[in-house]
Amino acid sequence: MFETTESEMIQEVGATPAGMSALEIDRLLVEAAQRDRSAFAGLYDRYFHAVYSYAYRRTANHAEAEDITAQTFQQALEHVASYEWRGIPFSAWLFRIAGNLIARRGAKASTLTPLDDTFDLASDEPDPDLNLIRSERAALLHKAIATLPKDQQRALVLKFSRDLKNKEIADIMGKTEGSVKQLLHRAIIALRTRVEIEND
Amino acid sequence: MTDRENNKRLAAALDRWLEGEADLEAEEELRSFRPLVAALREALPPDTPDPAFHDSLRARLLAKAHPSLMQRLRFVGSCALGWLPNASRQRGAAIAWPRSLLLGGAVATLLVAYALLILYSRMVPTLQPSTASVPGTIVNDLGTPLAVGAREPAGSSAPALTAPLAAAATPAATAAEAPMAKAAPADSVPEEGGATPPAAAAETLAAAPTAAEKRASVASEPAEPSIPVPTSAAEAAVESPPATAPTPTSSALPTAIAAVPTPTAPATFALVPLPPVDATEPKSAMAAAPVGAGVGAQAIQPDSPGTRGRGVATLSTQQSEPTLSVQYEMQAQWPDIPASLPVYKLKPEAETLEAARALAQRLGVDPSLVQTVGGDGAPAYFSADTSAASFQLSADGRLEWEDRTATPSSLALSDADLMAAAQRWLDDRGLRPAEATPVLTPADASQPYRLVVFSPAGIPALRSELRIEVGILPDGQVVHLWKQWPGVEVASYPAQSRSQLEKALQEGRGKPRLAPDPGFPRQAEADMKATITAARVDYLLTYTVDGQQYLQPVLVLEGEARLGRLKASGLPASQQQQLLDQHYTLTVSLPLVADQYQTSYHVQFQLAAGLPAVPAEAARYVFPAPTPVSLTDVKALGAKLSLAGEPTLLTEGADPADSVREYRWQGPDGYVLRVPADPQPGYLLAWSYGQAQPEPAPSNVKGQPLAPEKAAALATEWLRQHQLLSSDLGAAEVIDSSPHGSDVLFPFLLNGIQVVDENAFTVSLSPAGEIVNVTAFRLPTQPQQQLALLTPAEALAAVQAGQGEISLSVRVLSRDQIQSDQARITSMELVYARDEVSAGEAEPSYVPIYRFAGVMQLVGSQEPVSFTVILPATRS
Repeated sequence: MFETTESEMIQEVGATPAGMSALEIDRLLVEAAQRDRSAFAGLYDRYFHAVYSYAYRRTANHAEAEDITAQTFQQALEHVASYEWRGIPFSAWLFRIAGNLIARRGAKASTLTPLDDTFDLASDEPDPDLNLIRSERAALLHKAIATLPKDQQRALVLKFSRDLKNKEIADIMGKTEGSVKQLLHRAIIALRTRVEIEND
Repeated sequence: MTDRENNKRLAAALDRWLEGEADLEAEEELRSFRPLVAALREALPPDTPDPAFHDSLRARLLAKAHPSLMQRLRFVGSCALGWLPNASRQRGAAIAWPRSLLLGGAVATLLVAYALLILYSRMVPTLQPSTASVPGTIVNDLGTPLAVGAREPAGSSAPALTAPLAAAATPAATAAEAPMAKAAPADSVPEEGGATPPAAAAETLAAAPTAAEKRASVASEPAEPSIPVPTSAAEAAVESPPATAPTPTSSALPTAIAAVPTPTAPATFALVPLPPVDATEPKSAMAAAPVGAGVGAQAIQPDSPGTRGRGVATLSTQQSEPTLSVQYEMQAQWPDIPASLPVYKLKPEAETLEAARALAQRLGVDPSLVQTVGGDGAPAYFSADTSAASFQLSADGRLEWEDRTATPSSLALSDADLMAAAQRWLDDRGLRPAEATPVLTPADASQPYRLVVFSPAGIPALRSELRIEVGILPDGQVVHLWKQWPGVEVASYPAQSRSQLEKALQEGRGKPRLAPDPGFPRQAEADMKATITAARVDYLLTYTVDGQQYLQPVLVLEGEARLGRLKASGLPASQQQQLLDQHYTLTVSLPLVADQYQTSYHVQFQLAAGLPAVPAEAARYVFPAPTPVSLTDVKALGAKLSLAGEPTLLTEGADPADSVREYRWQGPDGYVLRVPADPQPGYLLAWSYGQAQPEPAPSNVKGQPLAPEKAAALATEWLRQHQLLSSDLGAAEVIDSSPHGSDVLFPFLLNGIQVVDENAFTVSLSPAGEIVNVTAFRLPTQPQQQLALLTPAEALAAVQAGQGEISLSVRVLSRDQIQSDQARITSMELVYARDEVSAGEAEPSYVPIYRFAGVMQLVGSQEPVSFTVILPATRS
């Protein structure tokens, strides 16, 4: 289990500013983006992972998922000014854009994921305690990963998410195998120092 | 076996596993890594995006256009001036852009620039007609109306002001009440979904309970000049304490608070004796701040007290989120809450290559660093990775260093000596902030060094954000450093009183966090009874949408909770029962200081230089139907670019209604000329280096951007050589945060007056000085009518009188009101800007505006803040 300090707990809570619901934050970010393009960053950061994940799950291909994610946000940025707030999560609109893009490309039917699945608050995890532990663990780990240098973050993702060999990672990152090994070594040691994990 | 030997074996085993030569499950030495590796696999599932893609797309989306232009155009929201003919303009009226451009190879370039167009159009259509009694509404960079012009006659009641002010309270309130903010004139006609006269707004809102009731009561109150502005009912109580504070009968008895966090049912605030409340209600330091007075350089008019505004917190309707009504029982002692509490504004460093080199040298690293260019949102970093050491410094000041040459000796220092050695090592390199105090962490068998962690002494709130880790070998050699120590600006704010906090709970402002997560369906409704067993003051890392981080004091309540009722259609009865049987732990945090935007401003502008010379009148330009782009046009363009061969006309899309056509002309070295063929307003000329996609990403562009003068000279020369440097192009402006390296922008001129929108030539250069991309946007224009212009002196007077529209480069916390007597206008110019209109009302056009830019220092802050003020330049 993670050892969660009080301050960490507080900062985790801080992912949503106090007193604001997710919808309120959405609305605030949309309003801001409608007035100032640079504020679109807030929406981008908030939904990038979800859109990418959705695109990947429907295409089962990282290159396609990247294309679709890029086009989705490009279109969203273009049209956010005319987006009309109706109290619906902004992500629903993003997923619709992404869904249309995927449909035009002829996405693989076998990888189709119902849109609602991406929002389902109810968990399929049979053991809620375990689910909570895992989600908290993942959140803390993500937070710790975010403190690593960019190269280390990238190497970790390519290693653990894509399950690539060091040589493949080295090719993608334009580094030597030895350098990738060092990056991973340092990343793992750093994470081990910053988060403490026990078995479930 | 010694620890050192153990560590070596562990590191070697880890390396073997990373090389694929060892089995994590089989090797005993790797046992301690198994949970972490398993957690990493879980946390990084196959659908995890490549972080480099995230950063490059972000930079491409947000830094592609013209950041400096964007900065100048951060004027948004309402303006109480009658310079546009119709008050009922709707948002979203923008020129239909060629579809072909959306699908063409230069999509990113166009979309970002188009977004700029839309951004600007966001400003213009929302302008409202003015009346003499309606001062300008000031809008912050989030578009939140911040204030009403500070020139209302003293003592006047200003019902026309109340509606915009009511919208000015919080981020949460901003959007919901934005229509009200646009209802500046009291006699304006209500529109559907748009402006509502204040009286009507108050009446409508008064029918709604809870938050809406507050809103109505606020809206009905007259503004009082020169009195500080409470931004919520709670804050009003802070600033205007009751004559007698509530007197509880006992502090030992529990408190029960029924909270109904929906606006549809009034909350019941139940029972019971309350523990003592500090009778001395905190007062706002800002409350007593005098409204500044004075005149600008032009001595326009004497200052008068500022009007004021109020806002309220708005509860979300949460239409598609679970509704949870919580009844709190307070069994915890209330913590001591001081009358005021500090808020910490984090200010990351802005590191430069020079600073990075100096730092690398101090750490014994070869200072010939690799610089990865950053874009907006993707900070640059400087790094070196050699067999001797690794070094990485991000532009926002995060540092990681590792020595790979250290040879441990058999010497083993005591813990105290290790801490002293780490401290000395930092001191020798000028890396230890004075307030940093060390703690030695226990030895970790997986690494050869101990960690000495430095954090600010006496400020627990900052420990997580200000931190230095020094890895030190038992013999005192430092081999590892991780440092994150942003600057901190502290400001004290009056704390909420206990009664206010209880009220906030009652209103559902503290969003409960439950463990385990019940995973309610979105349409669920639930009642919950919570017993608070612990309460404490802590700090929450909050942030604004512009990325500014604050450590904000919060009241944290912890306890247990059970569901009393659950209505969750679609959830099986067995699962519902499981949720009802579950014991939850609960955490709620409430802001302890006001967390709302300021609602008043008072700025005294001073002009740094003389008034500009402007003509007495200027034309309004409309946009005639575009001329279709012909093959001849493209060939003429290609000839200027010395392209050989012929262009190709491509059609994308089988459906004629949706198909788009584009000329493409292959140039040397992978350059491609792309010209949308369909007749549209404007055309695009784009060069793309290599493949059109992906665009150069910051992580792929190495080296320093060119010096601005050099970039401008190279770009100018390139345009000249290709006969593209026409007389209607303005002076080059260099933007060095481009993903390419440098972008050089050449704005278009209309009759010698610069046009501020996306219509410009942009020449992008690599750090090596290579022209990597050129884009051109141009709208055909046609003068329609001559308009009489305000003189510069009149324009300045209007701005001094609060009639302009201002935006700041930062958000200010509530009570940190926009007050400045040091607002220096460094640039005042007449420019053309797009006036978008809704369909059927009038033609869109370029109209002249005055644009003021400069820097101000807010009262109570040492930080210079950039501002922009715009003002319609026409007398009409």
